[in-house]
Amino acid sequence: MPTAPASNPVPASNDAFPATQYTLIREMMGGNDRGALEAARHVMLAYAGPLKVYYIGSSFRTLGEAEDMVQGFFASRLSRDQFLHEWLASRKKLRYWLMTAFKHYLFEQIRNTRTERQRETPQSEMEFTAGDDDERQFHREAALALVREAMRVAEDTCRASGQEDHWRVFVRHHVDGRSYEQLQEEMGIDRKRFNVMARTAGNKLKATLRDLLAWKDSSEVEIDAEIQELMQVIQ
Amino acid sequence: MSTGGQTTSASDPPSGFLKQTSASDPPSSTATAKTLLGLAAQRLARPVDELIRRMRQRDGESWLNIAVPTCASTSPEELASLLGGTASLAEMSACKERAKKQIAIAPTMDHALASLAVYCLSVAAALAHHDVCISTQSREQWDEIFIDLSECVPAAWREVLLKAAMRE
Repeated sequence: MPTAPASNPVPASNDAFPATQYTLIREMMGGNDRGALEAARHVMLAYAGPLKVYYIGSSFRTLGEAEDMVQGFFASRLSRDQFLHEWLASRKKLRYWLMTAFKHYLFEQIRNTRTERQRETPQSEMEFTAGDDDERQFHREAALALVREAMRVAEDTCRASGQEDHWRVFVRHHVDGRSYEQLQEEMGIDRKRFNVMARTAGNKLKATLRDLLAWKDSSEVEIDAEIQELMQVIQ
Repeated sequence: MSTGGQTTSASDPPSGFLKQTSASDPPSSTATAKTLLGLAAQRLARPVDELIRRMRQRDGESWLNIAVPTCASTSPEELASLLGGTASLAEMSACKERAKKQIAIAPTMDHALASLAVYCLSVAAALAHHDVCISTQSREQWDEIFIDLSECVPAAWREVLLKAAMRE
């Protein structure tokens, strides 16, 4: 096969596959206010859990309840017109972007809760720290949350295609560890059909996971590296 | 459906994985996530993967409809005979060989990918309609190609590809 001409730009979604997280949010943000709200909801759904875990593990946790802090962060930042636009324009992974923004928010809360007298006697912000372990926990939880979200989307995609059984075969085999022989007995499917069903559903999950991990201008090689990094952090 | 007395349903979540995890989540959830991430890491570099990427673009289907008769020099009648199974085995083999030669001398990626699509369809059609594999490439590799390609092509193509994948 000859050398390929310049590649087409990052593919947009079609009916068969979900958009990348980057394109999903970009399309939401490109619409009206409702789109921006949907984008915010998507971010909150995926990252509330990981941010709470990060917060609880850090010395910031003395500021208050994790739920309150994370919800406050979302209310503060996601309501800003430019917050997600700035992420879209950056070349950063969303989870790093959110963690940095969350830390900034927490430092703001520290400053806001100080009494006037305390403001006059500066307290080192270094007393409030989040160590490497806390950040590792955040990335771990973010990885798990992303996999859960990908499974949810992939299952919905299978269902929309009338492939609920395909998804079930995939989950029973790859998640529940059932062998082909056990599934043959359980579901009465032959080897060929098993292969088609499992691979079809698996491809949908694979595409969804890779799409959710992608960021602006990310290449396939970079996404591979990101997957390897996430596999390390969830050890 | 049941397994050893345990009743399951299509909507049963996998072993606790869809529940909110915490730092002390059971090993099975972490192992599951790692397994699934590992599947996503299996990025393939087959020629057909480039075709799949092209088909996944928003204009994939319309591109195929235009590129097959033009870049792949396959008339609508010939395409219909592959899809419908009215072509003889010899005609399907000839179509495959022509497509293979076109790939080798393709002047653009569009030519290469359109010809590859016809090449894959020819092999699939021979299996689906005549139960004969006209390629020396392994059936296991072809079955994977048929399944992967079936997810991003028009319905008529998908039917032939999946029927081929189901052949023993």
